Amino acid sequence: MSRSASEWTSWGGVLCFVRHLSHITILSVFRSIQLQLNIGVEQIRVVHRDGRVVTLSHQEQELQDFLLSQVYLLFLFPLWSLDPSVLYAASFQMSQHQVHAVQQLAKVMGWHVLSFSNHVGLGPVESIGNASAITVASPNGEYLQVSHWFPLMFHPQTQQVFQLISKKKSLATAAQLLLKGAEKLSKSVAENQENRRQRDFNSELLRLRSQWKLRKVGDKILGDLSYRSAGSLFPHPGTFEVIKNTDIDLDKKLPEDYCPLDVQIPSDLEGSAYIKVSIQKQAPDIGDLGTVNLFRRPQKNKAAQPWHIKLEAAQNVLLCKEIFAQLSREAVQIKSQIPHIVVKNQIISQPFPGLQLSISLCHSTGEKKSNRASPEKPKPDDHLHVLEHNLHQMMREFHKQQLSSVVMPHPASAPFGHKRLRLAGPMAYDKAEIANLQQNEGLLEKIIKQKEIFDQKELFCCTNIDQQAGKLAANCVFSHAGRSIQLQLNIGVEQIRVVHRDGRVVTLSHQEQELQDFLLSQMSQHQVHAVQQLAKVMGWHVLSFSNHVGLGPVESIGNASAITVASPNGEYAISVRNGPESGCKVLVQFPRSQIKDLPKSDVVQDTKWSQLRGPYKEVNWSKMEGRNFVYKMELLMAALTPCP
Amino acid sequence: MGVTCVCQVPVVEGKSVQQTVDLLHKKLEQLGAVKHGSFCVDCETYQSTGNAGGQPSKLLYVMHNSEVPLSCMALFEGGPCLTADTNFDVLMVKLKSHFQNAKGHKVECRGSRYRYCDFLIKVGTVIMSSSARGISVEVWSEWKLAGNDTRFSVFFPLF
Repeated sequence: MSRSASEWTSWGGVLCFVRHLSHITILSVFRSIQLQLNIGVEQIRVVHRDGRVVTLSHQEQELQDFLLSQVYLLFLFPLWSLDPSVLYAASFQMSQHQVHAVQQLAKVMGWHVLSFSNHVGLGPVESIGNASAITVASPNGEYLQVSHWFPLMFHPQTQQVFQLISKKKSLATAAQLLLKGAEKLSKSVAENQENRRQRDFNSELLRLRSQWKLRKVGDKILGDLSYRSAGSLFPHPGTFEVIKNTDIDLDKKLPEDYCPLDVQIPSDLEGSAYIKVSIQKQAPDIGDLGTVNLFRRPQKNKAAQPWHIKLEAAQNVLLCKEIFAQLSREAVQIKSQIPHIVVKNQIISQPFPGLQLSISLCHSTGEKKSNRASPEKPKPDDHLHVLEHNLHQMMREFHKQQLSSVVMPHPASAPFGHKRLRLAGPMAYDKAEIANLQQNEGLLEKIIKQKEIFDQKELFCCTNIDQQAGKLAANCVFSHAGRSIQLQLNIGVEQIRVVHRDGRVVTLSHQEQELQDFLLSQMSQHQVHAVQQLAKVMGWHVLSFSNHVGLGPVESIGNASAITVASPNGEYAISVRNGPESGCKVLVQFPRSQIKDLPKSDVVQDTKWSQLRGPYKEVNWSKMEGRNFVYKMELLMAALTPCP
Repeated sequence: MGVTCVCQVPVVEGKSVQQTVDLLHKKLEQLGAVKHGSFCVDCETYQSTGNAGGQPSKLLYVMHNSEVPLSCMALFEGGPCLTADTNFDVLMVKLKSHFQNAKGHKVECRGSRYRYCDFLIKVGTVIMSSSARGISVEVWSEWKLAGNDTRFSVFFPLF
């Protein structure tokens, strides 16, 4: 009995199969579950692989039940017990019809159809017809995919594969999102760094504000570069203006020294300045005064300097101006023994004759130097850096004193100065008390008193003395006993104090002639002292000695000194008179017996009187043998001492 | 502190004030005093306004002395006196409404200072409204004499 095709198809895929195929070989996943269906006319005979034969009638229900009982479903296998590494494929030739059959079977068996397509684009193109595919899922969560050209894959990992794929997909999506976000973040960080590197106006302004005083006036930002807040009383306002540097093309590459902030300093503080302190030995030409504008440092292009360099240079210029103003004010006002000349930008004073101290303010504005030639090339060692530094320090000291607790805080009506001065009015302080409280020394006086000046003075003095020593070389005293004049010279600002070895103190002015005269007089005295020493050594007796004799010609410098010494046996006597101007005069007294043309006297008859010393005879000292005075004197004494 | 003695020197007859002052200077220099600058003492008179009744208005004298250059002395007639800062003059300007400055009554004494050992002698011409009225001599000594009598008899021959 044969049924029509249509009847069988309603039953499900199995019977369709049965119709088309004579026998089906079904492979299970892990073992071959083989069912052989022999479809006869009246019955269906199912041959199991084990050898069991089951005969079923053509009732579809029977077959279905049988299959169910056998728990063999054509396309079903316990997926959970599958070995993942094993793959089995069943070769089926399925056509569209067959796919439909699977669909129906799935419905019957309670499986869900996941996807079904009659025309599957993937895979090799079939010439006969379009490929079809179906994916079904069991209630337990197993999947089965059937397609026309695919060998049926009974994949044990299908579930995991799908999970993997879906997880991979979701992960990919998430990763993409994260990557996108990271990219955005890195872009923004790079942008920030770029901005910081470019130093925008506000951050520069912040840096400026951390170092300089700024205030906002209207829409302008002004700053203060003067030393007012540090205690200066200089009237220059010293305000600079902060301007935005906007004339820059953002498209072009920014230059290396680009700064969005620029400062505009007052025009009289432009460039750079320094105070030149120099000491000259000889007085320069009067015509050279006022032309000192020698600048030792090369000037950089002022436009290209960053703001901090500009501000510092301007502040230095202001300080130099203040120092010079203070010095010139003192030079004019303060009355001192030393006259000061103030010419243009130079202060000249003569602390010591022949020595000239010049303080000048050298300010270069950075423009092209005028063709006015300076008198001479600047000597590299002419400028005393130490004194310039001292000037700066003293000005800063002065500033600090203004802010000291002695002065600050003060009421608005009080004048600048010591706090105690405010009591001067009510307590009726007189001039002496006021002078005590006020600053005694000005800047100029202080700088003149500096050590360098002293050194120079001493140097000058020493050269002077050397010159003198050279002049008086002929009269130089070399004591036989090794003693020499010891004079201590204390060189002060306005005077020289000489301390003699025996304690006498003489105060001389700084006139060099005075010192010279003094030294001359000392030398002449010393010669006479030397004779005294020599007499002691040689055994001669000192009969008389005077440092300042009243007889003889009057000396213009000091006084003449004289000494008279007698020989050991009393026969001879030597008289020496030494004056700074009149020179040295030596007389020898002979005994009467040696004088031939002695007038005979009636009164003095006894021969013993002829032993006495008689008249004097002068010695031609210049013709005397001997290197110097002492040697000569020694020789003379020796000659007058007869051998025993 | 010291002691100060101020006395008036009569103008020598037949001579002007200036000549008498020169005479004094010469005598001092002969004595051996050394000139030591100049001095100035002045006194301004202020009249208080707004008094009640027919009482004569009180006078306020404001004085300056170059020996105490930063001070200003004020004396109220028959009343208190004070020593103040030079800002007191500015204050008087502000009190214009209460104290009127009698400009014609300003008295000044100007002259030179002489220093003789411990003594300071100031010979000054008293000027009122630019006419010399007399001569005053001030002698100041650092040392306070023992007795109450502070007349310096050594200077009498000068006058």
